[in-house]
Formats: sequence, C-alpha cells, structure tokens
Amino acid sequence: MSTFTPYTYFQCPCTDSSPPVRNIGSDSPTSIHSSSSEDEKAFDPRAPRANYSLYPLEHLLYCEDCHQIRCPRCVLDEIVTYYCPNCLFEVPSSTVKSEGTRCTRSCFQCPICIAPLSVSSLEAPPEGLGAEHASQGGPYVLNCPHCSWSSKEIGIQFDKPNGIFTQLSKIKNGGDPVITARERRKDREERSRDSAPGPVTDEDGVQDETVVKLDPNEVLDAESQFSNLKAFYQAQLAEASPANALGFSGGDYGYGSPGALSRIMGLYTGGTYADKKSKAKKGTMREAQNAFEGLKIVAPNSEDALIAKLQNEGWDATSSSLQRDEQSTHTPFISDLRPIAYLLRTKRSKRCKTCRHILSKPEAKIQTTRFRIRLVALNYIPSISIKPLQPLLSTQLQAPLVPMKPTQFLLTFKNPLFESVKVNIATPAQTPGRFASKITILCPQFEVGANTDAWEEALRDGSKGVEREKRRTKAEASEGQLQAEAGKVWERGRNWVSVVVEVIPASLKPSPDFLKTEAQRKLAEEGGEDDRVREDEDVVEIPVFVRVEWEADTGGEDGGLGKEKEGREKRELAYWCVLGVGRIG
Amino acid sequence: MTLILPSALPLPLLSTILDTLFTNFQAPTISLLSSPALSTAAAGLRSGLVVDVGWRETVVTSVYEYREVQTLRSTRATKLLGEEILMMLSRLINPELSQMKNPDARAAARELLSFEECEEVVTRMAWCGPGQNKSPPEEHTDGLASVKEEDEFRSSMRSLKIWGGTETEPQVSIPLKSCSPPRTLEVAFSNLSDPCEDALFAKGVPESELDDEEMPLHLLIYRSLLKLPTDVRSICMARIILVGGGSKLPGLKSRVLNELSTLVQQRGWNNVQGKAVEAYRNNPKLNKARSRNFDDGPIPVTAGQEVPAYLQPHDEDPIEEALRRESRKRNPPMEEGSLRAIDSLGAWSGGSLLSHLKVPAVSVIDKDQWLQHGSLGASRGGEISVSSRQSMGPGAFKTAGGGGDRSSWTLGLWA
Repeated sequence: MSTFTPYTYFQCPCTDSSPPVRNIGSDSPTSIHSSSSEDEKAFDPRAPRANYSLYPLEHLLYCEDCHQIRCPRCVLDEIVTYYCPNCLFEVPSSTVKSEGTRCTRSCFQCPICIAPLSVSSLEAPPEGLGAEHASQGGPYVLNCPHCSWSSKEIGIQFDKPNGIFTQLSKIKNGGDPVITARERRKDREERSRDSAPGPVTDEDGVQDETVVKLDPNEVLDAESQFSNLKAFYQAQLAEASPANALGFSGGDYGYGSPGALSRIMGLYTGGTYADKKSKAKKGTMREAQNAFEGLKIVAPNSEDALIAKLQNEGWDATSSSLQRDEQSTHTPFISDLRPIAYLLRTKRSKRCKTCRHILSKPEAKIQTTRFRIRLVALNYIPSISIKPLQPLLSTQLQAPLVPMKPTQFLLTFKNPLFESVKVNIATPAQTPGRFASKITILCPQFEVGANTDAWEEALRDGSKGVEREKRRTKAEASEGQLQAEAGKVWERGRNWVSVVVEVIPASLKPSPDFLKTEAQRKLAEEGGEDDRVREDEDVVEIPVFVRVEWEADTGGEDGGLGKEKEGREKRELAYWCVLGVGRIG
Repeated sequence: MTLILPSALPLPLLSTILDTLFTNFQAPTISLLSSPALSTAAAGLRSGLVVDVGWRETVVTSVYEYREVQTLRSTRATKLLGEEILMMLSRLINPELSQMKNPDARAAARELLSFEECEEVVTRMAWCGPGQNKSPPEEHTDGLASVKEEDEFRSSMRSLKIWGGTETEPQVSIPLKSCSPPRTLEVAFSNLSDPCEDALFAKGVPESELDDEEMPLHLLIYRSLLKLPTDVRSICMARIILVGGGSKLPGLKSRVLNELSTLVQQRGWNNVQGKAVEAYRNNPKLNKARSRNFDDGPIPVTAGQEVPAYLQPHDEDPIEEALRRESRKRNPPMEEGSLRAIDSLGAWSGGSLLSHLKVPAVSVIDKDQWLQHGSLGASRGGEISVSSRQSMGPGAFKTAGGGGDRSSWTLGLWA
C-alpha cells in the first residue's frame, strides 16, 4: 500500500480564458454549450485538462497589478543570464548564439557517468624539495574522479591544461587531428584555383582529388559534412546571383535565382516551362558532387566493420542509450564517446502575460541565489493544510478511508496578509467522478486574522490567551466526542483558522443498479463502464471554491504616508482548489 | 522560428502547434519546412528517395528538385523491430513462450522484460545481415529455393570474415536487469539479426500475403521507385537517403541496397509479376512461338525483333542532343540509373543549414496575421482542396516570401 500524504492544489484561473477546445468525437453543439456554462459548473479535478491547471501553492506567483494568481503557463520567461553550472562563468548571449549553448572553457562531464571531469597531468608529480611550487608539465588528460574514466581511453591528450574545449574540438577520438573548417576552406580555395576553368570538375578529377586528401572510404563526420555543405551552398548561391549576395534577385525572386533552394519548402509550384527557361538562363544550383561539397555516399560494405566490432566486443563495448543521448553525434560504441561540455544554464525572470509586470527577477550575479523581485502566491493567498480531526496513532497515519464511514478533516487556513481576510469556501455536495463521496463543510464562512508581527500578538494578548483558547476548544471537543459543531470555527489562532470538513467516502464497489442516479446510469451505458477501479480513482479529491475578501490599501506601494488619505479598497480573490484527503481502502 | 514538419501533418494539428508557438513562445514569424525536402538538402542533393525509418512507420518519399513527388508508408519500422527483439529475448528466457499462441506470447513477453531494457538491446546490439544475395545471382530463372537461403547467408557471412573462419557461432552476452531474477543471456550473435529480418524485411512471408501498409523496406522502396516516371526514377534510385532512428541499425543501408538490386535484377522495372509472368518470360517455347507467328505473317520480321522495343537503341534526336549538350556545358553530369545510397545529415540539420543560408521558406507565417485570421487567412491557389499539391498554385508562390510584402501568406503544402 502506497503512502498517501494529503495535498492541496490550486487552480490557476488562466485556463478559463483559454479558447474552448472542441472535443473530438463529441458533437460540437453540446460541447459549446457546456463550455459556456463552465463558470457555473463545479471544477472537476478528474477532468483530463485539470492536470494542466493545478499547482501546489509553492509553484504559483501572484501578479500585484492584475490581482491574480499566475501559474507557469501564464507567465513569460525572459533569460537574464547564461552561465556554466560548473565554472559559474557568465556567458554573453552573443557568444551563446555563435558558439552554442555549451561551456567553451574547460568544463566537461564524463561521457560514461556524467560526473565532472578534472584535468590532470600524465607526468608523475614532482618530488623532493619545492615540489609544491614546481608546475607539472607534459600531456594532460581529462579524468573522471567517479568512475576513473580517462580521456586517454579514447586516445585524447592535451598540450595545455586550460582551454580544453578548443583543444578537444581539434582532436578526433584516437588522437587524429580534425580538419577544421578553416583548413577546409583554404583547401577549397586552392582547389578552385587549380581547376581554373570552373569549379565544376569532371567525375574522374574529383575522384583523384578525393584520394589526395581523404581516403575514398573516409566518411565525413557530421560537423565537417555540415560545414562542407554550407560552404557548397553558399558558393552556389553566390555564383548564381553575383549581383546580390543575399540570394535575392529582385522581382524574379524564387524562380530565377538558385535561391531556388528556397523552393524547398513546399514548393508544389508546378514547374512550368517558363520556369525552366528562366532557370536555364541563370543556371540552376547543382548538386553536391563529392565529399568536399558535403556529399557522403554510403559505401556498400561500410558497415561491415561496425558489425564485426559489435560481434567481437559485444555488449560491454557499446554505449548505453543514456550515454548516447548526451552525445551530439551517433556513437554506437564506448570508444566513440567524447567528453561532454557542460550545457549552459540560465537565470530567468518572469513576467505576467497580461500586464507584463515582472513577477520574479533573480539577481543577475551568478553566485547569488537571491531574487530582486519575487511575488510568490504564498505571500498573498491563504494556504490550506489538511489533517485528520481524530488524532491518529502513528501506525494508523496511512490508514485508508473506510467507505461509508464519516471521516472528519481539519482544514487550516493560514493568512499571509497583513490584513484580516474573510474566507468563503464552498464545495459540491458530492465529489465528481464515478465514486461520489459526500462532502460537508461545517463552517463555510469565517474570518482569518491578520499576519501581524508575532511579538505584537504575544504582547497584546499574552501567549497564555492563545493557549487558553486552544485548551478550551480541545476540552469542548472531548466532551462532544470530537463532534464538530456546524457553523462554528474549530480552532483559531493569530493568523490561522481551522474548520472541519466531513467526508463520507464512497464505496468502491459499484452501486447496485437501482441506486444509481440517472446520470450515472447514462454514463455507464455510454462508456461501457467496467467495475474495476482505474488508476488513482480511489483518491478522494475535493474541489473547493475559495473566495477571499479583504481590505487593502489602495496605494500600497506608495508607502505608509498615503495610507490614511487614500482610504481602503476592498479586494476579492476567488479560485478553485483541490484537496486530496485520502485513499479509500 | 523554423518548424520542420512531416509533409502529411493534418491542418488541425498544425494550427494547434502554431497557436501554441505564437501565444506561448512569442515567435514573431514561423517558417514551415517539409522534412523530406530538408533531408535531401542536408545530403547536398536536389532530388532523392528519402526513406525515413521511424518509430511507428517507415515513410518513403521521393523528392525531385526539392518537390515531394509521392509518399508510401509501411508499418515496418523500429517499433516492430523492438517487439521482435522482445519476443526473441523472452523466448530465450522462457522457452515455453514459443509454444504459446502469438498474442498470448506477446503479452507474456511484455511481463518478462521492461520496455526500456528491450529498447536498450535494440539500440546496442541489433544489427542487420547483408541478406542472402551478397553477390546477385547470375540466373534467377527458377526463383530462389528457400532451402538454399540460409546456406547462402552463412557463406556470405563467412566470406565477409565476420565469423572469423570458425565454425561455431560466436556468442554475445546481454545483461538483463528488468526480468526476475536478473540474468545474463548468452545469445548467438547471428540471432540478433533475425528480428530485423522478420520486422523490417518480412522474411519468410510471401509478398502476396502482405498488406499494402506492411510492405518490407526493400519492396516499399522498389514499389515507390516503380511508381515514379522513368526519368525521376533514374535520378531517385541513385540517391537513396536513409534517415530516421532505424537507419542507424548497423548493416541496414547495405542490406537495403542489396535487396533492391536483387529485386531490380529479378523483375526489372515491370509492374506485372508473378508465376505466370515468370513462366511466360522464361518459356523459350512461348517466345519462339510468338516469333514464328510473326514470321508467318505477311510482313517478314527481321532478326532484330527479338530485342524488345524498349531495349533497342534510340533514334538520334538532334534536338535532344542539342539540349543535352547545352546542359552539359553548364552542369556536370548527374549520377543516374545506378543504385546508390547517400548519407544525409537529417531534416533538422537541413533546417539549420537553410537558416544559416538565410533561405526564406515559401510558407512564412506572421504572428499577428495568424492570431487575427488563423488558418483561414492563408491564401490558397485555386479552390480549397484536400490535396496539398493543388493548393500550392503559382499564385501562392508569388505571394509567399516575396520581399517585404507579406500581406497574404500561405501554409504551403500543409494548407
């Protein structure tokens, strides 16, 4: 039996304003009707969409200008800073755009176990006098302190202990140097000079050239193929429309220019004869012809070596899917894995989607975790906690609810505001869903005191007063065999109030047919209802509509001066909550 | 923002995606690009046959000059492969399963192993054999005896030196944690390629038994090529682009090529096949009888008649020759007519490539216009039609992406 902790989720009202979505399958007239009467209808925590609007109070923000709860769905994120989580260096957003979202210093994760890697020298540490002052030289490797993986295993060593990212990008696994984009470009330029008549070479010539630099079976890795292709396309675009480097050629845009590539998208333009003619004039973009242009032909037996390796080295040599996911290219074997540069993290500020006011803004400095602005709903909305009324033994704590046996729960509303609030709560008489439990709130209307300074409170009443009150209620309770009185608050504190909710859990066995209500019967007929209890259907979830009213200063932000002058303003906030009280046993 | 979409994405889904992106991510404009066309571009090509071996389905799209010409689908993809691997593994764990009926056995197998573990085996250890015809047989007249297949397969394996000359099959051990108790399976390495044979190549199932949507890969590609016009086919067959997660299966690419070349050798590019055709084609009597018939006719037929018309050399066509010369001047000769596979970087890299090059898409959707009109605001060439091809008339192209004027826009082939 899984343990159950009572929970309270708050519904963000933003979902109400979202356009009604027509249910597929149901006829549209009824669904439109039902969506229009959504306001009157009780909130159903089991509705499929409810999952997307319910949040614990801690996840919610509060917009002071709209006086509304704001959930992660109705705020806009803005990135304040990018930083590396390992070295805590801030990365300017321009660098992020050009270099990518990885740390470009020396921060790497182990490709096997994702622990942070450290740089260490391969040389033996110097001994003797002044050893601590002597710097270690020689080749460096990346070491994993957790699984003791080392970059030596993939044949990678570094000359310098810093700037590992740039060094690594120049070395392939095994130690061969990577032909960088710049080298490729230089090589390309040389070739185009060699083949003076034009960049177009005949098939044989191409073959020869391929042999010169790359062996015929050499397979371009993804990065070099990408850079080759990009260079090729750029050359083609420039060649085609030398007048306009951008690839636009005036009014003839799209047809004439081999920005004909632009046709890629979609392009069911119906290639007319005129089209071909104009193309013929300017010359079409041709295809990539060889590896230098990014063409990668699959050799018929290219994968045999792979299979042979798979067979000889077996399971242990292959990388797990978790390890592969971290890599940017396809790495079937452990020997293909490369150290993972740390992904950058961001600090984000959040704005209200409707009024664009900032709801949360972190300190731009990376080392601090403080916030400049943080309007969390916790500071504006009474929190609700649930506990069973009957004191339970610790062994009973997770006891399930007994069907048909009235069980009472204490709802404690705690007010975070500095004004006292009036709270109205309402629930439907029965929980929605197949197993309708009966719910009664014994005291639906009450006032919760202000969250004044605790010391002030203590000085005014004396702590004894509170205790006395508590004791009195306790005594009352024991006299009445823990009978809560309707219409009365159960317990009251400085800024909190407890009220009692009585739940009569439904029986999980299907009710006999004659007891079923009309609606249930209809539902059963429609859905072909089976008697099995579906996942989490045995949890009693009570939808509660909470209305909070309080009087607040109108110019609250202006400071204390205007308080008296501007007068008080009545504020009201209403929202649905869902209380998960327990599992029916 | 650029969206890369499969070309058959339904409009309601597309408009939901666009709604979400515009309202929640505040993208000023969104360009739509089709993934097969991008896969072609990311291979450096203008045309090609894009074979996307995905999870639920394999989609074969022929792209000619960046236009999607046709699409064929099959359910033989990675999901099926995973199920076959699961069956193979669970039969090894619990031999009783092989006696059970298929649906029962599958249900039981699912209890035995977790999905994740099975996927792990698929991605790590599954491979694809080179097929029974490493070197295509010279004569294919009497069909291939199924008994021979296994032998040939093995001999070809041996010729590859995959088994290192030893007669005993090598075993690989696969540690499994999700079954109880956890154990390490010893599997013959060749067994690990069997699920692929069953799932992707429908080994042992005659073609006539197969539904249209469960064609094995090689047949699907062959059919797709067969449906294309000859000139498009000759270009596409030399540009077979395998993309998608399934294409990473070791050996799959060469296997597909092998199977295809065998098919082409056996059948040629002839849509009609079967025993009767085979018998007809291979029956020397029939051929003779026919030619004799012709001989009997009033017009004497020359010996050259034995060569079918489509094999006879063409008459010289001066205009075509001139055209060809013209085009050769400008462009290098295109590789065509042979089977060839090309590696692509994939659709997403293609999209990245195009955005680097600042190539505007046909369908660029402006946020304000979308929020104002929704999908109804898109201009369509001609009438509203289900077929995407008709919806992209020349009018749509004219308005799309042109310069700064975006008063009207289009959803391109998704409209």
